[in-house]
Amino acid sequence: MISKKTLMWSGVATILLVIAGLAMYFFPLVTFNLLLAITIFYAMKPIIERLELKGYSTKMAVVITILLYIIIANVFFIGGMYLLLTNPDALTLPGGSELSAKKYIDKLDAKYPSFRVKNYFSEEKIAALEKRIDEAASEFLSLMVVLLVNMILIVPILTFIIAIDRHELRKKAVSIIPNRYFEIITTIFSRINTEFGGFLRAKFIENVGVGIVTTIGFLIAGVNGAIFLGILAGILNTIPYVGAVIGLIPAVLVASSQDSSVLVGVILTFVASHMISNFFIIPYFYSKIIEIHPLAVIVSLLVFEELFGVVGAILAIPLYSVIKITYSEIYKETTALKRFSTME
Amino acid sequence: MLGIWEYIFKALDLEKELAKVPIFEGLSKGELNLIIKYCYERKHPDGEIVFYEGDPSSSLYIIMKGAVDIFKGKKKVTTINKGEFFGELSLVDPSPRSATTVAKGNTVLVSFSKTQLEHISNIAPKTANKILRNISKVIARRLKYTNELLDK
Repeated sequence: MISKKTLMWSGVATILLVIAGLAMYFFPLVTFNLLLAITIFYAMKPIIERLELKGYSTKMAVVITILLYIIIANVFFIGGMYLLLTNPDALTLPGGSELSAKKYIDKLDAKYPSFRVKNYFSEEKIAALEKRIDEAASEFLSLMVVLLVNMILIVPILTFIIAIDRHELRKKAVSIIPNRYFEIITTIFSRINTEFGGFLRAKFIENVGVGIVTTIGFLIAGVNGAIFLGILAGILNTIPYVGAVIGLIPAVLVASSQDSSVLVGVILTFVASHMISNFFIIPYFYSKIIEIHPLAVIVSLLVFEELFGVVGAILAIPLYSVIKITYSEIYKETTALKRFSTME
Repeated sequence: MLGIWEYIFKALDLEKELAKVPIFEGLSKGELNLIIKYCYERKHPDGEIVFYEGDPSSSLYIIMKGAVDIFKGKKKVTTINKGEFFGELSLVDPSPRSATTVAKGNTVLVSFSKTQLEHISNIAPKTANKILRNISKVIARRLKYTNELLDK
């Protein structure tokens, strides 16, 4: 039997979660900026905390950490520039011939005549496909421009504020909780913080790892647009299960119009990057994170994709874990109360 | 950025007060400052209940101002004064609160919770180790005292 207290608390939590969901739904850009800033902050947090323990002030620790990240980012940038100068094809977006469906099908037909690719695609079908690709490409590009402006201007400032003022922000938030509910709310709050932070940090590291390995693999394989495709694979890897495959599709399309050895290279890269992430990154960084049943992963993926689109799919696991922790903590805390009172 | 909370904490000189609490004995200045970052200040008006007997427990409280009465059922057991602490068992034991506590006069408490101790044991295991050892000492002392009472 579920107690009145459990129900009351679950009701309060549901209202708060719905409000948060509505905020996400109506202000997707704000949500994106905040979440990205929080993700970057969580990735930097272990270093900031270590510096603080060494006796540096919070401000100093944050500045040193950000400088460290800028240096690392520059090493990658210079490395990337070097690769670009020696291999100019790597940055060309898979546009031009790859984005033209007609040319692509012609190429495939010329290369693999026994497949009779042209039999499956009438002229109208190809025209419709080209129109859709054009639309998708321009949508994608304008989205990228908006996101890039946000990432360069707003996200770094947000990250800086979160990192510097995190203790004050937390204390201010806690100060508005009534005394009576202070303990239960802070317990739930810090559980969510630990789980969510751990997840974001692990996912960030995993994505960067997959992105770097994939980019290097694609460069070696000689895929056109290797850097772009590698970064895309890293970003899409955030989506559980299907993300890795979605990330592979554009690379396979580009490679299939090139050479069969390039295609083999792409597949090998895919296998290698996921072996590295499954055997080295995931066991090491995800060990502290709550276990989520695969069925729950898929259901939450579908639900959040339906609600919030691609952003929802990317955030499905953390959103699911926030909801799970909230209700399981409420149940645990309120039934502890009950157990005690029935004991007497 | 000097937040209002930072100001309040400075005014109360929390670091000095924390150093006096047996559970934080032997911590360095840096370690105490780390603890302060994870403490919350709570203000209770006269007569307000801090927690009820049977409530789920998660925090230790240190009295910065005022006092707290401890009740077992309806019977007042003792009064805890400024500079003293209560609820320390909740840092290691998940069972519900064993007594009801009521603020005596306008009281300011500083809380430090089990989840914060868990966090500190992740980022600074040595500090967490010291705190846990101190808690053991407090509990051992109490056990000795109870044994002596039983002997009498």
